Amino acid sequence: MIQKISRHLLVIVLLVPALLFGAATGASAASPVLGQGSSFAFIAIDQWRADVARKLGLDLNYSSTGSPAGQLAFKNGQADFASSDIPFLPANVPSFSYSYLPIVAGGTAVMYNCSDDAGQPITTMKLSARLIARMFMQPGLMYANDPEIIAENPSLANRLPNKELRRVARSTPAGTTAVFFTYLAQSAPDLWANFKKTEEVFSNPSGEFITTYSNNFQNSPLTKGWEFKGGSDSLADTVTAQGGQARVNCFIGYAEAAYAVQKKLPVAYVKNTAGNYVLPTARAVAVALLAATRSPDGTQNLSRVADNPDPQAYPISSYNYLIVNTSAQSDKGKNDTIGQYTIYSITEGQRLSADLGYSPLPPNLVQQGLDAVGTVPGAPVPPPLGEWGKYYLQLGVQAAVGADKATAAAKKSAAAKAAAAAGGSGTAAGTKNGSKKSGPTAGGGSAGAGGSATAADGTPIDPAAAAADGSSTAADGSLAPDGSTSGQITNSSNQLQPDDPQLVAIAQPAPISRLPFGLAMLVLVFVPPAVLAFSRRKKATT
Amino acid sequence: MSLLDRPPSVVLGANHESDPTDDAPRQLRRIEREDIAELLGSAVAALAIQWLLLARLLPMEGAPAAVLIWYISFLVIYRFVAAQHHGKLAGKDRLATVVLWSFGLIVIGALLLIIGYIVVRGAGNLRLNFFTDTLKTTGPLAPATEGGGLHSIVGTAMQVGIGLVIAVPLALITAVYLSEVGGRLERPVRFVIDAMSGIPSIVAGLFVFVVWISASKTGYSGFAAGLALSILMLPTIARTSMEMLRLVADGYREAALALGAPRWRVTWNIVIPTARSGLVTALILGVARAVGETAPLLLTAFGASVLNTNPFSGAQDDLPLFIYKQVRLFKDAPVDRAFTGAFVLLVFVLIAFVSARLIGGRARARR
Repeated sequence: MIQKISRHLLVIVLLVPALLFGAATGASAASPVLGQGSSFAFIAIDQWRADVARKLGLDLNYSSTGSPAGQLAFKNGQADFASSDIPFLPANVPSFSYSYLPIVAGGTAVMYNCSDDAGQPITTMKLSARLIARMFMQPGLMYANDPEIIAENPSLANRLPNKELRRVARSTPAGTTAVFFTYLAQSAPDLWANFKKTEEVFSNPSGEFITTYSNNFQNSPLTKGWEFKGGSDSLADTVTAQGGQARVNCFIGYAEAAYAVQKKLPVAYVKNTAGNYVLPTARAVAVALLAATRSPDGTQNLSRVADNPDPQAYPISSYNYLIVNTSAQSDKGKNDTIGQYTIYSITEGQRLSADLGYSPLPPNLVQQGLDAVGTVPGAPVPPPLGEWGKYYLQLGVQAAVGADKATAAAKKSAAAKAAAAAGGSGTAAGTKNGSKKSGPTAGGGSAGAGGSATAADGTPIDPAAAAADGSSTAADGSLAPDGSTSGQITNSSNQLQPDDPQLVAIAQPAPISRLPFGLAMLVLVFVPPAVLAFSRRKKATT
Repeated sequence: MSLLDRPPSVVLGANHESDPTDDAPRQLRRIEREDIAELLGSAVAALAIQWLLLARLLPMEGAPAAVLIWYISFLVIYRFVAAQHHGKLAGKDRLATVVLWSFGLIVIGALLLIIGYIVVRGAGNLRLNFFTDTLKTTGPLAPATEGGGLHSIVGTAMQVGIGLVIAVPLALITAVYLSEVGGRLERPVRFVIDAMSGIPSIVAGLFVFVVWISASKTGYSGFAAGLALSILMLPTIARTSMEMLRLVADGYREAALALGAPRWRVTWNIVIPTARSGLVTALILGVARAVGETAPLLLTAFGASVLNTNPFSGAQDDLPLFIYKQVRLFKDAPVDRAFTGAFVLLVFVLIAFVSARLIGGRARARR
């Protein structure tokens, strides 16, 4: 019986693939378009892949292997398109012609995990470019109560603990690192020069320098107390450290803002050129990218983004592009698919980008993308720009806290005017600035912003908090008291405030006076087995 | 009174009075109410000590330290309680019993925790459409119950099937050579098979990537994945089959040879049919080894979101890649979907192992 079964099993196991091959020869071998690259853009690319499959019947396939790996696969013909956060590395430049198409934008967040001595998480840290550069380019130990950090966060002065601030960075070449380094190189040139000198000691191959810390640097004693992780996800996991680790150390790292939202990690307010401290919300990133320009080779030029004077701009903003083959020999059918996909993504698809954890592309980048699609042989003719690219205006305005007095005073009049223009709808300062740049629909823009106060992840902000934020910057331009808004991008109105009575109670050290109680417990628990044992023993000896 | 003069029940710690002349088989270890009381009492006492040490005396905290201190103080207390109760020897015996039991429980507990976690997180979102639907139109924003893994299940079946078609004949011939033929090459072949079973799976994937995908410009395909899996399956199947062929009693071979059958006939008609259930076990173990591999498939099958029934062209998905890609989407719904995939994969592997045990166990029992 069992022999029969096992014989049949053997036959079946060997036959199944054969049968499947038979079935396969009947099916048409429609080869879908293959892409690979950036893990930064993976979520958006995958969502739009599903959308175009449903709406347009397109067949795409994407795997997140990292920007440099995607470039290499594209060069070697193993991918029909690549997605990359950075221009081609020298080693990966293909022999055929290609074009860059902007597809999705995002902010690189500086996320941290640091609790004060009472065990309460700090959520309102503000950082300047110089401080960030010190953290991620100056080797050696650093402490959370570093004088420079306190200088930037006077209100946290008595909460910042004397804990080591562990830096968590990417270990392998990554577009996020490249964007981060580019920002720091521009905003803190002296520290960048020092860092470059340090790295040159390790003779880092010049092409990869910008995308990663060299292996030698990572393994050197200079980075004692740093941690290097392979992907954005594992980096965020490391920063989320809990238990003993989190009690002893503070953690800080950088990754795309969506990862911080997902892990519910607080995100640092970063000081922009206007002197405001801004979170990487979808809108702040889009506003910053209004200043992005296209280099002659089609790559992004972010130099004007990092010092965008708009008070709402988040300085570490960048976008990701698809790279497609534009040579005459390229497969027209595949280019058609990629072209349709790109047009959908940068127009219709941008509606979803905030939900997905990204920022919508502003109109200038949508226009760039549409122009670039026009140069791809076999791709459909792109539609005119029209109203596309204005989604970011519908996103809520975040409160930029802690602007210095001068900016605040300058903003006062602008904010009053903006509020008047929007009919007292409580828009924050800077809306006017943003809408002016966005072109024809200035009035509509500010009205939209006032009407829908939503956080970066699309959830409505607590109205009270939103009103408070709005008033702190718009009504009188005075500084928002530190701690009134949290650095968490998600809804955070239920965070404990520094002077919360609950927190003060927790901060009291536990008294060590209940020792007698402990001893009593001990005796109480010891007595029954002891009595049992002795009674038993007596019986045994008799 | 020496130890030997006392009745065995006293020596071995059985604490019931027994009549030495009683011939009925004696249960040496019967769990009585007092034993349980001793265990529980020691456990609670240890808990109190642990609390005292951790909360009031030592500058340590955290669950691992608490558990460790509790366990050590429990052992110490229990040892003395048991020794006082039943004598020194019995105390040691009971201590050893408790230590062995607790280590056994830790291993089983870890296994149950892993399986339980996957079942709890994965089974809830399992709907029938997981087996009938693909991810073609399902993006990261879709709820976890939408979309399915049909394309992955089909891909896994094909890739493992291709791997089997390639690996089984090779492995069987190797096993027959090692167990029936032998000769000068036996040792080197055995060495190579042993070394092969230690190949990291990513190396197998890289090998196929370089030799097949990069060199022949055919691109990613399910067939390439099957090639990589066959490299991983070959040593497992060959070694297990060899053991199974060795189990066939020599009497069968000798009888057949005595009747004048040539060696190949003995092998083909006597040895292999006798070991058939064992060989099926070997095959299933090979499948179980390969079905959960992810690293080689990343480089060869690439992964896809649509059904691709042609393993010779185009990227193909499979269950491990399904899990990997969904987890990396880093949103709640895809991660839940990945756990559903993990649950399905776990059930497949479980079925494979249980059937291997059943078939193999019965084969051995019959002998």
